[in-house]
Amino acid sequence: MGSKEIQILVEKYWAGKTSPTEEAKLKAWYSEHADGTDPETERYFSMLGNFAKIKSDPSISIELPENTSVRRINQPSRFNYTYLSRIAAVLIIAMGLTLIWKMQPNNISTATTEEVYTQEEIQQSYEEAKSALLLIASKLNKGKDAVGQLDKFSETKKRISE
Amino acid sequence: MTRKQFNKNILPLREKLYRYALSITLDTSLAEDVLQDVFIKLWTKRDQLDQVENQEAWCVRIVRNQSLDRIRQRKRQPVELEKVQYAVSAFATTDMLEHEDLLQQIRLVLEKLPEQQREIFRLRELMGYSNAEIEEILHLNHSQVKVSLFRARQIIRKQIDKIINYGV
Repeated sequence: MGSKEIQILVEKYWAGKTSPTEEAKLKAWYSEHADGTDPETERYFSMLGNFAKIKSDPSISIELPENTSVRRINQPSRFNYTYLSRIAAVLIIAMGLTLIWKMQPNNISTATTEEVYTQEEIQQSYEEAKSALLLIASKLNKGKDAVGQLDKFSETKKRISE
Repeated sequence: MTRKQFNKNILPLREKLYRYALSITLDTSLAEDVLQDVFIKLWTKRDQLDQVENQEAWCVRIVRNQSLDRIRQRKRQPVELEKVQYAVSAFATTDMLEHEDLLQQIRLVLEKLPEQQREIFRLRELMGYSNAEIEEILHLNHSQVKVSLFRARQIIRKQIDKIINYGV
Protein backbone atom coordinates (compact mmCIF):
# COMPACT_ATOMS: atom_id res chain seq x y z
CA MET A 1 0.00 0.00 0.00
CA GLY A 2 1.54 3.31 -1.13
CA SER A 3 1.63 6.56 0.83
CA LYS A 4 -0.78 8.22 -1.64
CA GLU A 5 -3.35 5.54 -0.96
CA ILE A 6 -2.77 6.07 2.75
CA GLN A 7 -3.35 9.80 2.36
CA ILE A 8 -6.71 9.10 0.73
CA LEU A 9 -7.60 6.71 3.56
CA VAL A 10 -6.59 9.31 6.16
CA GLU A 11 -8.93 11.90 4.59
CA LYS A 12 -11.68 9.31 4.44
CA TYR A 13 -11.02 8.50 8.10
CA TRP A 14 -11.40 12.11 9.27
CA ALA A 15 -14.63 12.34 7.27
CA GLY A 16 -15.91 9.30 9.19
CA LYS A 17 -16.28 7.17 6.08
CA THR A 18 -13.78 4.37 6.68
CA SER A 19 -14.68 0.82 7.63
CA PRO A 20 -13.06 -0.92 10.63
CA THR A 21 -10.93 -2.94 8.16
CA GLU A 22 -9.61 0.22 6.49
CA GLU A 23 -8.91 1.74 9.89
CA ALA A 24 -6.97 -1.37 10.89
CA LYS A 25 -4.88 -0.94 7.71
CA LEU A 26 -4.14 2.69 8.66
CA LYS A 27 -3.07 1.75 12.17
CA ALA A 28 -0.86 -1.06 10.92
CA TRP A 29 0.74 1.12 8.24
CA TYR A 30 1.58 3.99 10.59
CA SER A 31 2.94 1.59 13.21
CA GLU A 32 5.49 0.31 10.68
CA HIS A 33 6.10 3.16 8.21
CA ALA A 34 6.59 6.27 10.33
CA ASP A 35 8.85 8.54 8.21
CA GLY A 36 8.32 11.80 10.07
CA THR A 37 6.53 13.66 7.23
CA ASP A 38 3.36 14.09 9.28
CA PRO A 39 4.50 13.35 12.85
CA GLU A 40 1.23 14.11 14.65
CA THR A 41 -0.93 11.97 12.36
CA GLU A 42 1.72 9.24 12.53
CA ARG A 43 1.75 9.45 16.31
CA TYR A 44 -2.02 9.31 16.46
CA PHE A 45 -2.44 6.23 14.28
CA SER A 46 0.58 4.45 15.72
CA MET A 47 -0.88 5.08 19.19
CA LEU A 48 -4.12 3.37 18.12
CA GLY A 49 -2.16 0.57 16.43
CA ASN A 50 0.10 -0.01 19.43
CA PHE A 51 -2.85 -0.12 21.80
CA ALA A 52 -4.29 -3.03 19.81
CA LYS A 53 -1.05 -4.95 20.43
CA ILE A 54 -1.20 -4.68 24.23
CA LYS A 55 -1.65 -8.02 25.94
CA SER A 56 -2.52 -8.86 29.49
CA ASP A 57 0.18 -10.16 31.82
CA PRO A 58 0.49 -13.88 30.92
CA SER A 59 1.78 -14.70 34.39
CA ILE A 60 -1.59 -13.79 35.84
CA SER A 61 -3.85 -16.76 35.27
CA ILE A 62 -7.57 -16.55 35.54
CA GLU A 63 -8.65 -19.00 38.19
CA LEU A 64 -12.21 -20.16 37.98
CA PRO A 65 -13.66 -21.74 41.12
CA GLU A 66 -14.11 -25.49 40.68
CA ASN A 67 -17.48 -26.10 42.30
CA THR A 68 -19.38 -22.89 41.98
CA SER A 69 -23.06 -23.43 42.42
CA VAL A 70 -25.14 -21.79 39.75
CA ARG A 71 -28.71 -20.72 40.32
CA ARG A 72 -30.70 -21.17 37.17
CA ILE A 73 -32.82 -18.32 35.83
CA ASN A 74 -36.51 -18.55 36.75
CA GLN A 75 -35.74 -21.34 39.21
CA PRO A 76 -37.43 -20.75 42.55
CA SER A 77 -35.21 -20.07 45.47
CA ARG A 78 -34.28 -23.03 47.66
CA PHE A 79 -35.87 -21.30 50.63
CA ASN A 80 -39.57 -22.11 50.35
CA TYR A 81 -41.51 -19.10 51.60
CA THR A 82 -44.93 -20.71 50.92
CA TYR A 83 -44.06 -23.59 53.22
CA LEU A 84 -42.88 -21.14 55.87
CA SER A 85 -46.09 -19.07 55.63
CA ARG A 86 -48.20 -22.23 56.11
CA ILE A 87 -46.32 -23.11 59.30
CA ALA A 88 -46.74 -19.53 60.54
CA ALA A 89 -50.51 -19.61 59.86
CA VAL A 90 -50.94 -22.89 61.78
CA LEU A 91 -48.96 -21.49 64.71
CA ILE A 92 -51.05 -18.29 64.82
CA ILE A 93 -54.33 -20.28 64.81
CA ALA A 94 -53.06 -22.58 67.56
CA MET A 95 -51.99 -19.62 69.70
CA GLY A 96 -55.36 -17.91 69.16
CA LEU A 97 -57.30 -21.01 70.20
CA THR A 98 -55.16 -21.42 73.33
CA LEU A 99 -55.74 -17.78 74.26
CA ILE A 100 -59.54 -18.09 73.84
CA TRP A 101 -59.56 -21.29 75.90
CA LYS A 102 -57.63 -19.61 78.72
CA MET A 103 -59.88 -16.53 78.75
CA GLN A 104 -63.06 -18.59 79.32
CA PRO A 105 -64.29 -18.72 83.05
CA ASN A 106 -64.02 -22.27 84.35
CA ASN A 107 -67.26 -22.28 86.52
CA ILE A 108 -69.75 -20.98 83.96
CA SER A 109 -71.27 -24.36 83.17
CA THR A 110 -71.68 -25.45 86.82
CA ALA A 111 -73.35 -22.28 88.17
CA THR A 112 -77.18 -22.52 88.80
CA THR A 113 -79.76 -19.71 88.36
CA GLU A 114 -80.21 -19.41 92.17
CA GLU A 115 -76.47 -18.86 92.59
CA VAL A 116 -76.30 -16.11 89.97
CA TYR A 117 -79.59 -14.14 90.62
CA THR A 118 -81.46 -13.13 93.82
CA GLN A 119 -84.98 -14.44 94.58
CA GLU A 120 -86.43 -10.96 94.01
CA GLU A 121 -84.88 -10.72 90.51
CA ILE A 122 -86.25 -14.13 89.58
CA GLN A 123 -89.77 -13.15 90.78
CA GLN A 124 -89.62 -9.87 88.85
CA SER A 125 -88.58 -11.63 85.65
CA TYR A 126 -91.39 -14.14 86.14
CA GLU A 127 -93.97 -11.34 86.51
CA GLU A 128 -92.75 -9.54 83.40
CA ALA A 129 -92.80 -12.69 81.32
CA LYS A 130 -96.32 -13.50 82.61
CA SER A 131 -97.74 -10.06 81.73
CA ALA A 132 -96.15 -10.26 78.27
CA LEU A 133 -97.72 -13.68 77.65
CA LEU A 134 -101.18 -12.43 78.88
CA LEU A 135 -100.99 -9.50 76.46
CA ILE A 136 -100.21 -11.85 73.58
CA ALA A 137 -103.09 -14.15 74.61
CA SER A 138 -105.66 -11.29 74.70
CA LYS A 139 -104.61 -10.06 71.24
CA LEU A 140 -104.74 -13.63 69.96
CA ASN A 141 -108.36 -14.05 71.18
CA LYS A 142 -109.39 -10.81 69.45
CA GLY A 143 -107.93 -12.06 66.17
CA LYS A 144 -109.62 -15.41 66.63
CA ASP A 145 -113.07 -13.70 66.88
CA ALA A 146 -112.49 -11.95 63.56
CA VAL A 147 -111.55 -15.26 61.95
CA GLY A 148 -114.85 -16.77 63.33
CA GLN A 149 -116.85 -14.07 61.53
CA LEU A 150 -115.05 -14.87 58.30
CA ASP A 151 -116.01 -18.54 58.72
CA LYS A 152 -119.71 -17.57 59.02
CA PHE A 153 -119.41 -15.46 55.84
CA SER A 154 -117.87 -18.28 53.83
CA GLU A 155 -120.52 -20.75 55.13
CA THR A 156 -123.37 -18.42 53.97
CA LYS A 157 -121.67 -17.95 50.57
CA LYS A 158 -121.50 -21.73 50.18
CA ARG A 159 -125.28 -22.11 50.86
CA ILE A 160 -126.23 -19.45 48.28
CA SER A 161 -124.16 -21.10 45.62
CA GLU A 162 -125.82 -24.49 46.34
CA MET B 1 -22.75 -23.58 29.94
CA THR B 2 -20.16 -26.26 30.69
CA ARG B 3 -16.52 -25.59 31.57
CA LYS B 4 -15.57 -26.79 28.09
CA GLN B 5 -17.96 -24.32 26.38
CA PHE B 6 -16.82 -21.55 28.70
CA ASN B 7 -13.17 -22.23 27.81
CA LYS B 8 -14.05 -22.28 24.13
CA ASN B 9 -16.36 -19.24 23.90
CA ILE B 10 -15.52 -16.91 26.77
CA LEU B 11 -11.87 -17.34 27.74
CA PRO B 12 -10.57 -16.37 24.25
CA LEU B 13 -12.08 -12.91 24.85
CA ARG B 14 -9.50 -12.36 27.58
CA GLU B 15 -7.15 -10.03 25.61
CA LYS B 16 -9.97 -8.01 24.10
CA LEU B 17 -11.68 -7.55 27.45
CA TYR B 18 -8.36 -6.68 29.09
CA ARG B 19 -7.68 -3.95 26.52
CA TYR B 20 -11.16 -2.57 27.00
CA ALA B 21 -10.71 -2.50 30.79
CA LEU B 22 -7.34 -0.82 30.23
CA SER B 23 -8.87 1.80 27.93
CA ILE B 24 -11.24 2.75 30.74
CA THR B 25 -9.03 2.45 33.81
CA LEU B 26 -5.78 3.47 32.02
CA ASP B 27 -4.01 1.44 34.69
CA THR B 28 -2.52 -1.99 33.95
CA SER B 29 -2.87 -3.46 37.45
CA LEU B 30 -6.42 -2.19 37.82
CA ALA B 31 -7.31 -3.63 34.41
CA GLU B 32 -5.91 -7.04 35.50
CA ASP B 33 -8.04 -6.90 38.64
CA VAL B 34 -11.11 -6.02 36.59
CA LEU B 35 -10.43 -8.94 34.25
CA GLN B 36 -10.16 -11.37 37.16
CA ASP B 37 -13.39 -10.08 38.71
CA VAL B 38 -15.21 -10.19 35.38
CA PHE B 39 -14.24 -13.78 34.59
CA ILE B 40 -15.31 -14.97 38.03
CA LYS B 41 -18.60 -13.11 37.57
CA LEU B 42 -19.08 -14.62 34.11
CA TRP B 43 -18.28 -18.08 35.46
CA THR B 44 -20.83 -17.79 38.25
CA LYS B 45 -23.43 -16.52 35.77
CA ARG B 46 -22.53 -19.01 33.05
CA ASP B 47 -26.07 -20.35 32.84
CA GLN B 48 -27.36 -16.89 31.91
CA LEU B 49 -24.71 -16.72 29.18
CA ASP B 50 -26.46 -19.55 27.33
CA GLN B 51 -29.49 -17.34 26.85
CA VAL B 52 -27.54 -14.25 25.73
CA GLU B 53 -27.65 -13.64 22.00
CA ASN B 54 -24.41 -11.68 21.67
CA GLN B 55 -22.13 -12.98 24.39
CA GLU B 56 -19.22 -10.70 23.51
CA ALA B 57 -21.35 -7.56 23.75
CA TRP B 58 -22.65 -8.78 27.11
CA CYS B 59 -19.11 -9.39 28.38
CA VAL B 60 -18.00 -5.95 27.19
CA ARG B 61 -20.85 -4.33 29.13
CA ILE B 62 -19.84 -6.23 32.28
CA VAL B 63 -16.23 -5.08 31.85
CA ARG B 64 -17.39 -1.50 31.47
CA ASN B 65 -19.48 -1.59 34.65
CA GLN B 66 -16.78 -3.38 36.61
CA SER B 67 -14.10 -0.93 35.44
CA LEU B 68 -16.20 2.08 36.42
CA ASP B 69 -16.87 0.48 39.83
CA ARG B 70 -13.16 -0.08 40.36
CA ILE B 71 -12.36 3.53 39.44
CA ARG B 72 -14.98 4.75 41.91
CA GLN B 73 -13.59 2.49 44.63
CA ARG B 74 -10.06 3.73 44.00
CA LYS B 75 -11.17 7.34 44.24
CA ARG B 76 -12.57 6.59 47.70
CA GLN B 77 -9.28 4.99 48.84
CA PRO B 78 -6.39 7.42 48.25
CA VAL B 79 -3.04 5.62 47.91
CA GLU B 80 0.01 6.97 49.68
CA LEU B 81 2.53 8.44 47.23
CA GLU B 82 5.52 6.73 48.84
CA LYS B 83 3.98 3.30 48.29
CA VAL B 84 3.35 4.02 44.60
CA GLN B 85 6.94 5.17 44.04
CA TYR B 86 8.25 2.03 45.73
CA ALA B 87 6.05 -0.18 43.56
CA VAL B 88 7.20 1.51 40.35
CA SER B 89 10.91 1.31 41.16
CA ALA B 90 10.72 -2.31 42.29
CA PHE B 91 8.61 -3.88 39.56
CA ALA B 92 8.62 -1.56 36.53
CA THR B 93 9.82 -3.21 33.31
CA THR B 94 10.52 -1.69 29.89
CA ASP B 95 7.16 -2.98 28.61
CA MET B 96 5.35 -1.40 31.51
CA LEU B 97 7.03 1.96 30.95
CA GLU B 98 6.17 1.85 27.25
CA HIS B 99 2.60 1.02 28.19
CA GLU B 100 2.54 3.94 30.60
CA ASP B 101 3.69 6.31 27.84
CA LEU B 102 1.05 4.96 25.47
CA LEU B 103 -1.65 5.18 28.11
CA GLN B 104 -0.65 8.76 28.81
CA GLN B 105 -1.14 9.62 25.11
CA ILE B 106 -4.55 7.94 25.12
CA ARG B 107 -5.52 9.74 28.31
CA LEU B 108 -4.73 13.08 26.65
CA VAL B 109 -6.95 12.22 23.67
CA LEU B 110 -9.84 10.92 25.78
CA GLU B 111 -9.76 13.96 28.06
CA LYS B 112 -10.76 16.16 25.11
CA LEU B 113 -13.94 14.20 24.38
CA PRO B 114 -17.39 14.34 25.99
CA GLU B 115 -18.55 11.14 27.72
CA GLN B 116 -20.55 9.53 24.90
CA GLN B 117 -17.96 10.33 22.23
CA ARG B 118 -15.25 8.99 24.54
CA GLU B 119 -17.08 5.69 24.94
CA ILE B 120 -17.63 5.35 21.20
CA PHE B 121 -14.00 6.29 20.56
CA ARG B 122 -12.82 3.53 22.91
CA LEU B 123 -14.95 0.89 21.23
CA ARG B 124 -14.27 1.93 17.64
CA GLU B 125 -10.70 3.25 17.61
CA LEU B 126 -9.13 1.25 20.40
CA MET B 127 -11.15 -1.95 20.21
CA GLY B 128 -12.01 -1.99 16.49
CA TYR B 129 -15.74 -2.70 16.87
CA SER B 130 -18.06 -1.82 13.99
CA ASN B 131 -20.81 0.78 14.38
CA ALA B 132 -23.45 -1.98 14.53
CA GLU B 133 -21.60 -3.69 17.40
CA ILE B 134 -21.24 -0.38 19.26
CA GLU B 135 -24.97 0.23 18.86
CA GLU B 136 -25.65 -3.10 20.54
CA ILE B 137 -23.10 -2.64 23.34
CA LEU B 138 -24.15 0.90 24.25
CA HIS B 139 -27.84 0.58 23.33
CA LEU B 140 -27.64 3.55 20.98
CA ASN B 141 -29.14 4.01 17.54
CA HIS B 142 -27.25 4.13 14.23
CA SER B 143 -27.20 7.90 13.81
CA GLN B 144 -26.12 8.55 17.43
CA VAL B 145 -23.06 6.34 16.96
CA LYS B 146 -22.22 7.75 13.52
CA VAL B 147 -22.55 11.38 14.57
CA SER B 148 -20.66 10.91 17.86
CA LEU B 149 -17.80 9.15 16.10
CA PHE B 150 -17.59 11.86 13.45
CA ARG B 151 -17.57 14.61 16.08
CA ALA B 152 -14.95 12.82 18.15
CA ARG B 153 -12.68 12.58 15.11
CA GLN B 154 -13.23 16.25 14.32
CA ILE B 155 -12.15 17.23 17.83
CA ILE B 156 -9.03 15.05 17.59
CA ARG B 157 -8.18 16.36 14.12
CA LYS B 158 -8.45 19.98 15.30
CA GLN B 159 -6.15 19.12 18.18
CA ILE B 160 -3.61 17.53 15.83
CA ASP B 161 -3.80 20.54 13.45
CA LYS B 162 -3.21 22.90 16.37
CA ILE B 163 -0.08 21.00 17.35
CA ILE B 164 1.17 20.92 13.74
CA ASN B 165 0.44 24.59 12.95
CA TYR B 166 0.94 26.34 16.26
CA GLY B 167 2.85 23.82 18.37
CA VAL B 168 0.14 23.98 21.06
